[in-house]
Amino acid sequence: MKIPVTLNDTKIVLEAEPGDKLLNVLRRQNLLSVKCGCSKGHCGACTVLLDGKPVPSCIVPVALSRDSKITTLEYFSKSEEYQDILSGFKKAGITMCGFCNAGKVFSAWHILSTSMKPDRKMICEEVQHLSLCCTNTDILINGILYAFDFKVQRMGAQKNAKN
Amino acid sequence: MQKTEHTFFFAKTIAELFYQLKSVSGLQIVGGCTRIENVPDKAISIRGIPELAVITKHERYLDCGPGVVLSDILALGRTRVPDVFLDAVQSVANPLVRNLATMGGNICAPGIKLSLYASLLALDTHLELRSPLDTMYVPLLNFTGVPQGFILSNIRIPLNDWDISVFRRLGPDHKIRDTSASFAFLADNDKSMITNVKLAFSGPVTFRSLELENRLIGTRLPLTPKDISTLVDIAGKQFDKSAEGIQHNPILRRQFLNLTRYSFEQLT
Repeated sequence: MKIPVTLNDTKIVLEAEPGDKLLNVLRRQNLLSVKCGCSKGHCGACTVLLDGKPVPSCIVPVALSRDSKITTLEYFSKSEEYQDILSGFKKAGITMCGFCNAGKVFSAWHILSTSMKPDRKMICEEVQHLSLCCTNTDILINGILYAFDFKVQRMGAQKNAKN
Repeated sequence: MQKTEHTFFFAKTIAELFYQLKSVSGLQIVGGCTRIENVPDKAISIRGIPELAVITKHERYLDCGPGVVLSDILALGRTRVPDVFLDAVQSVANPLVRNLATMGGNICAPGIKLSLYASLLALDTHLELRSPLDTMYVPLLNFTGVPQGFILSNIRIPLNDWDISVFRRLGPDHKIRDTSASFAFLADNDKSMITNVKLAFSGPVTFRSLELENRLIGTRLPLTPKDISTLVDIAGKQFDKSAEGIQHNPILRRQFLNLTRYSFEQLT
């Protein structure tokens, strides 16, 4: 079956069985930031942005993503938001191990883009389900809070530059 | 479309959905596909139908399309959604899965009542079922499944303020097992008298305790420990009546009674 999608800002047609999981299809496209973890949607290792929302690609049948916008970490890592998150994580002492990056980064991005002023409790609710292999939830929360500060600083600087 | 072992259809409008349902026999509607391991042989996605993914807030009720994802409901916040329902949505899986899981999928999941059911039952939710020629409104209490030729087109949740609102999800987090169930209790009191009360349980055994609710309305507060024990006994009988012939884990009855007792204690 042919499934037209916008993958990392490029319109392409994926050739796959409708029931194939999006995770496997993306990995076949050499997008290896999408990792196979629990295959049940719990751990976050396979997170991608589907129409701007982080979802576990291991439970999404590829047919469901037809005409959708899919963003993986490979493309997202070129954005300014990623740099804020990376700086925040670095400040908190989080190493990017490579396996749980997608879950950490996209969850952080979702919090930063939906919340005006994230607090520890709210962040904890969003990230406590992630299986983190290189840090723990408390440190990740710190990283997200630092990332929020970096984002505010960057946006402030951009606003000042405009004025 | 290329025909393979599985046939997957897409609809962009409700009219197109009805056309496909009429033309292809055995077609199954799918939402977020978070509960199903394998896609049905013949499936149609409602993801592309904007009319089915709309939330409309009215003065007295909230209209949710079946294609609304659970994270959109959480985004509305406690000021716009009844606490018991919001707590139920929050208990579903994890934030990533809630970005995919739909209201319709939670209500229509075959063979099991999922986490939202008890809260929706307690809130007196009505379902709008639509066919090309007809529209009918069914209370969730009487809902047994979407009839042939119909689709679930809207979920109407009444918005009342409740003085006491209790929701608990039972069983393991993020998984649906034989011990998974949900419990919802709502109560209103005025001048030390219970004016309205709702009690619902869903899981392997699903019921609204109407007998108990009718008995409670008009009762003077505070409830004495003896009153509470009597009411818990009645609730137990109601559970047994609803569970007749249904295989269930015995721990569910114990948990239901504990939660019922806890809820009544909140009234005093």
